[in-house]
Amino acid sequence: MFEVETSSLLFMERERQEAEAQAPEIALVEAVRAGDREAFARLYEIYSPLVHGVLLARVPYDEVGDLVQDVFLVAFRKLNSLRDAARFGPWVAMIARNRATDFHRRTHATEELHEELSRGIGRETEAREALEVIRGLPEAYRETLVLRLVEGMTGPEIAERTGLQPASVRVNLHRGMKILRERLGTKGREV
Amino acid sequence: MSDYLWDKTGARDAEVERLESLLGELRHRPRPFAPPDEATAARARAGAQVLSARRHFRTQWLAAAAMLLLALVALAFALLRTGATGGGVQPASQARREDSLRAGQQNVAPTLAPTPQVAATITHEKDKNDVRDAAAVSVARGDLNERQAALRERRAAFVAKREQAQPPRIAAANADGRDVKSAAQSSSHDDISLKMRLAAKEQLVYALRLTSSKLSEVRAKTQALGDAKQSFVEGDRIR
Repeated sequence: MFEVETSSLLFMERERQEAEAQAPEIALVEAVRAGDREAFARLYEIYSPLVHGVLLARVPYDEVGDLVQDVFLVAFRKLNSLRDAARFGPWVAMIARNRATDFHRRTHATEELHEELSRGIGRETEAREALEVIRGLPEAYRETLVLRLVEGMTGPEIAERTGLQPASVRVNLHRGMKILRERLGTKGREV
Repeated sequence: MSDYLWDKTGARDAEVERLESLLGELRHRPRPFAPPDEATAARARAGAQVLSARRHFRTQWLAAAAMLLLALVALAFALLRTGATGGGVQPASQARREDSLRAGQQNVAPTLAPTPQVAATITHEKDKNDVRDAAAVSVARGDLNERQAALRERRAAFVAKREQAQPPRIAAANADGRDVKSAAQSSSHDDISLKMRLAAKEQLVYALRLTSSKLSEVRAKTQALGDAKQSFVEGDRIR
């Protein structure tokens, strides 16, 4: 009987280690809750591209850096309200979306004017113009495309960190890319 | 369908690659993130609690002010409604006046009642036609006159009071079209007053007739005495 219990305990421990290997944020979130500040720095490294992409699809580029910091400050303070540690990614993405909504509610509509205008058309200016085109897409497509094209994440990574279904991410990517091609005037072959 | 867009595998898509390269300029450049220390976090939590408490207090204050305002409006509405209908609240002076009028009616009626007794007594004396004592008759007549005068004074005062009290009330009721019930009550009071006036008038006429008959009796007796004296004087003169 003792052997059976030991084996079951070992099996459970192995399952937990596998789950943590698949979703390292669980251990990191638990570590942060226990007071490990370095663990939160690690969470920031992993999820800051996601938050950056979510914000970049909604707010001006110049504001995104500060808003990323704000989102992680909120996440750090409210981490105890997160029920499922494995859902840290969707949770922090939702904080970022709410923060973007607050930003638009509190600030007046302004025209984004960046420094490159005075220095002529540069590569970053071209990139911002392309980003503006992506921002004009439907909401379901723009966030996925920004994460894919700007932040360099693959489809499976986007699905894993945002909590969306992989099939949905795939559809959003392909339909969004098709519309983006049309709007950029580069009607190429079908994606 | 290109797999490169999905997981960066398979045949490369030149357009996607170009966009990746271009938009990669805007990629996140991680800045060092320093989580706030415990003291800062505690201050932030305390600040949030104070803010929440202030918001709660402000909500309570607004609710109390709204309730007070509602109570004032309700009170004002109730007062205005009472004043408009005139129901329920009646000036004390008017109530006293009506009470005194009712008391006057109750007092006048018994006062008028003994008058027929006096009249009956006098009638009885008339029927007996026994003028035994002229002085006694004159005393009785003086007493009767006093009573009749007092009665007339009281009746006149009562009628004057009624005329002062009732016409404005009826006029106001007719003009405003309100307090119909009280107007109807006052009209019934008028009927009673009219009957009382008629009864008093009849009594007065009867008393005047009685007085005139007595006077004529006295005049006749006086004339008879005068005639007798005249005849006596003339008889003496003849003699």
